[in-house]
Amino acid sequence: MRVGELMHALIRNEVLKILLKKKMVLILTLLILFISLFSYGQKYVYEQNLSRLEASTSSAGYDWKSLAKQQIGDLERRLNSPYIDEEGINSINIEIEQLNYFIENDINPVTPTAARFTVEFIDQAIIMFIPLLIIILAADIVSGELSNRTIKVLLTRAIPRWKILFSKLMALMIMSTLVVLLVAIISTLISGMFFGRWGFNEPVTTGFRLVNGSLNSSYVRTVSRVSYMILVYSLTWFVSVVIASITLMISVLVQNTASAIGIVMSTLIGGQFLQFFLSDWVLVKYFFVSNLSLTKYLTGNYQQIEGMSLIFSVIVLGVWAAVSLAVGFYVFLKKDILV
Amino acid sequence: MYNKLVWPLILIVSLLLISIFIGGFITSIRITSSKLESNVEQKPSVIESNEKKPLEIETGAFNILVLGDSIGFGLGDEDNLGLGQRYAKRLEDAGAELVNVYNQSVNGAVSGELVLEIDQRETMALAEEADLIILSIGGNNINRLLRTQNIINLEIDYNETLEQYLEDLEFVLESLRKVNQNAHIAVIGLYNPYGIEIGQDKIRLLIEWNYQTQLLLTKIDKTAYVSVYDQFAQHIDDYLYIDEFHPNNQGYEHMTNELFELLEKD
Repeated sequence: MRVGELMHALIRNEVLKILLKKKMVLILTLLILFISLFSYGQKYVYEQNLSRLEASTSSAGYDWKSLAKQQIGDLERRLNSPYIDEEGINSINIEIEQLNYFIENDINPVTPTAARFTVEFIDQAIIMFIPLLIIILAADIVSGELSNRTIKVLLTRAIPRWKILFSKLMALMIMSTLVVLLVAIISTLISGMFFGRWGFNEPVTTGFRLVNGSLNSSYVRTVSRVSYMILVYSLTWFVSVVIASITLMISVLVQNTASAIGIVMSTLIGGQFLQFFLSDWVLVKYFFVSNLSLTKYLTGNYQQIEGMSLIFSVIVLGVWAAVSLAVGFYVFLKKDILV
Repeated sequence: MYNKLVWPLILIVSLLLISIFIGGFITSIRITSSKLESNVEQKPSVIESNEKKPLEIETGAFNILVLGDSIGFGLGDEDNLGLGQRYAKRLEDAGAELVNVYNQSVNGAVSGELVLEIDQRETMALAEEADLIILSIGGNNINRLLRTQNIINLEIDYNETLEQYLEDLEFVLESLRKVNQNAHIAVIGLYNPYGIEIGQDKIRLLIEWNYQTQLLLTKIDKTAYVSVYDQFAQHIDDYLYIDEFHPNNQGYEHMTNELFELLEKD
């Protein structure tokens, strides 16, 4: 019982340390700043498109509804074709369902909504912006204490070293989870204010599977935007936990925070370049940076790379996180810390 | 304050979220992984189950085979004739003894589905004996793009669609040519049922589509491209059926005229 209480107190203390460093304020500011910019940008592009469309069509009101209805008619005729395969029938039914939703709710399919923005934002942010926020949170968790010597206060107490690092890890997990929640809330609220539409019930297609190396839409189904958001943010959370683990290891290995941030950031950016220049090299797909954009597997809208799937990426990321933690703990236990 | 209020709140919220995220994470993996249910093979493919009664093909007569989408089918033709029958009538008026029309068109077909149809024995048997093959395809491929309002990706989407269509069409034409070296193959071009309202950008795409079709036909012997774009543009109100999309009997009559002039007039 006493052991549990001690752990609890340690974690509570670590979370307090993170909070006192005002990092959440920095993260919040960054989020509000960027999301406002992106929302504004999307609204701007949308309005530009609309006016271009109106300029190019002679009649002012573009009747998207009757066009959508014709499209449904077309699709229904295709359903009657005897030459259509199982996969085609499924995706046509889903297309009809989506069009019906837009018609029934009187929403032009191209209108931006808050729920859609929140998901699209993550699609882009998961490879760089989200990891960056986690690095802000995690980079100094050990190295900060090493460089300002506060670590000795911790270590001189009669607490096993692994418990200290473990409490730091737990505090990181808690704070990373909260950061993901913040991203979801802020991006939904701000974009909702810009667009004036929430669109939580819009049906989204998901469930594309790789069958014999090609994308198969036989299992595609629709889920509401809200459920889809939960799926997307769950994957984002997983990525955050992995990045937090890797950053923790770097933070143990180096003496000061600046180097820790530098190392993780350059790995992230370098990894992106690697994908561009060495995409043919098989080893690239085992690098964690190449596997960060998990959400693309849900949309079915991605360039397939031989052997890469959600499970593959999750395993690669999981192995990276596990190895990082093992190395981090080992070094932290063996390290000579000069007081 | 921190120990009593903030910390318990943080702990509860994050534990709750972690359990939700783990649930969502597992669901994501479940719906994208293909390991489970592999009943794709179990269901008999539609194509096999669709063996129609074998058609009797009269080898002595002039055989017309119509393939493709609703325009080949004759949707909107108030006289219920369609391109094939109308053409047959022309030939009979001109003195032909016996003309048979086999209409294998499927409403709403896209080029990919025609490729599947071509692969079938029945279609091939008909193609072998045909003296004229009328092909109308592609309209349903490009339609989606002409109607979309999402012009950001239009160009990319269009290029992909066109490429796929040309690949399919080439396969269809080559397959037909392989089994039948003598028959004329006439490909009906696309017209614009929407009028100028869809804007110049999209009209350009449609014209480009027709141009690419025409270009492809130059690669294959004894093919004819039947251009209907200009005539339909001039007489759009007279030529369209009440759905404002398919041709009416006048529209089909005009198409037949073009075809007849192209193939039969000396």
